Amino acid sequence: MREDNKIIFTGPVGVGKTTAISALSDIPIISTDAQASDMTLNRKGHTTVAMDYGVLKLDESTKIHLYGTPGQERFDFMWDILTTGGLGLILMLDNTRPNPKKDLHFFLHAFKEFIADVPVVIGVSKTDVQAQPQIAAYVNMLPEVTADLRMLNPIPPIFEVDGRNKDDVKNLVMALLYSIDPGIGDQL
Amino acid sequence: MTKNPSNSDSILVRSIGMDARKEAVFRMAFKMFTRRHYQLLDLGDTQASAVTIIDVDGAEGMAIAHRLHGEQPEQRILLTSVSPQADSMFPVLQKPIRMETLFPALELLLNSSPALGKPAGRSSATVMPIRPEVAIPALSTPPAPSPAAATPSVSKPGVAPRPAPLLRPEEIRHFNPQAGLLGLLQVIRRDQSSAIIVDSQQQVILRLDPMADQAILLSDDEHLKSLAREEYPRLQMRAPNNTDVPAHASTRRLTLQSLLWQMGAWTADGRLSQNLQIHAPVQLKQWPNLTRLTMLPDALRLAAFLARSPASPALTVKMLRVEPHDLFNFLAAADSLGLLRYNTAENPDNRIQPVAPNAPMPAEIPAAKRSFLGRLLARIAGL
Repeated sequence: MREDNKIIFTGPVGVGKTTAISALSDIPIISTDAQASDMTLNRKGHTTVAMDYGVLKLDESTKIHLYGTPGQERFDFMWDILTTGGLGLILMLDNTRPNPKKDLHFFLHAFKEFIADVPVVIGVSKTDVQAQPQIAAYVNMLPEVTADLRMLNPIPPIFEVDGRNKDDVKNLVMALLYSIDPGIGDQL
Repeated sequence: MTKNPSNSDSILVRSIGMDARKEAVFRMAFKMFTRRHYQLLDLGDTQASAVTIIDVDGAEGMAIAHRLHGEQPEQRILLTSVSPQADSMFPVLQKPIRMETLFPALELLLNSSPALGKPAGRSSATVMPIRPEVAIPALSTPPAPSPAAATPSVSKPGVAPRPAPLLRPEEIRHFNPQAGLLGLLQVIRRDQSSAIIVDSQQQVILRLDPMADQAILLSDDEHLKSLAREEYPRLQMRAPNNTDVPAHASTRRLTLQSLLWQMGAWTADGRLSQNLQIHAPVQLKQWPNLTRLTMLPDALRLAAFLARSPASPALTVKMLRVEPHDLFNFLAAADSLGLLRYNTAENPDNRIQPVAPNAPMPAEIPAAKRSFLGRLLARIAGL
């Protein structure tokens, strides 16, 4: 089996990508954090400038690489390099951001070539802080947001998540794997 | 002085014209690549590099590359740019840079003569500009599945699959989702008006506020479960007032969606909704919000399967090898939240939607990858 199996976590600054990767990784997460120097400062003191990296080991020779993209939009040039060999995309959205629909549109389009070939799952965080929009509202946004996209899974999972909750993160990843092949679970 | 890459453990690479963030991406890419060990030199490191990668989109543009070439004619140079550089004497990686183009380009460069082509004429060793190869999925139209026999793409099971459960249509029991406690809850959800549900002794069981998606439970799970399984329980629904829930009462709070989901599964109790037929297709309009609902057996894989394309309950049992009672409970729970499409004369708006003709079809999963995915799934589940 190839060693370049990757799961990509993306989403805006402060949504919890780094925490989510930490929940899965067998190694201490490698973060290229730096002091935030722009609008990001309003949301958190440090931010992921390049990317986060974690590893989930299946055995000595088989690893799943977990990558978190930088949240700031100006770093989108970096994302293509990550997606080769990717199993799927986990998009995390922050319900407290001023315009989650814009974020949904931005990130799905930023990865439009990737998600034509692999599934995407969407986790909405901080719904305990800001209840609106509800999950149903995101579902209603999707047809308009994805009208010009070809997605492998046009009806993606959209779950409320808390990146600090391991079960939430596990369910996101399991939904991603089942979206690749719902038949895999029959061996469990 | 150019280092000979074949005699070195590390292939030293210098970057020019890049900020720290771009360099971090290259460092990570080099870390991920295991066939050869590339190392990006830090600023100020005076070791000789085997290759220099120059970003020519900055203010100085190509002038940096030409200057370096003038100073170190033997230095191997790879350019990166958002624009094609048709007249470049150096190989160019067009942005966005991808792993599958970066490393072949570096290999070609390292295997070529250090003195790259001069403007007068390129040698055969010259690495030509490389464009990123974007994989565009084939637009071939898959054969349209017939509504009654839609067969979602699911790979054949790998090693040691579950035995296929037996499904005898004559043994299937049905229930009426419009009756009983579930029926009352459906009315409240549909009407979006607050209500309480009381039993025959006028004891409050539930107080419901659909606008706020809130349910206050004044009864324990066992009692609710037993009520759910009665087709004609003596229950009444009425408008709430301020004295319905005494201050000292023991209550629990759930979202109304969580309550509906759970009541749907309890009410089904292994039976198929009489709204559904065993050989007629059903389809999920959307995934249930499974991180905030009771996780029913096989719910994630059932959701993945039924969100992908329509399938009948019989086909779902056959393809996923799920127990029929688990499938029926899942279908009842999903239907209680209005998440299912199926064809009925009563509700034409809820008809199965045809698969878009240009929708990408999931590829057949090779057995090795399927085995790998199964192992990964087990690993995640066990965390």
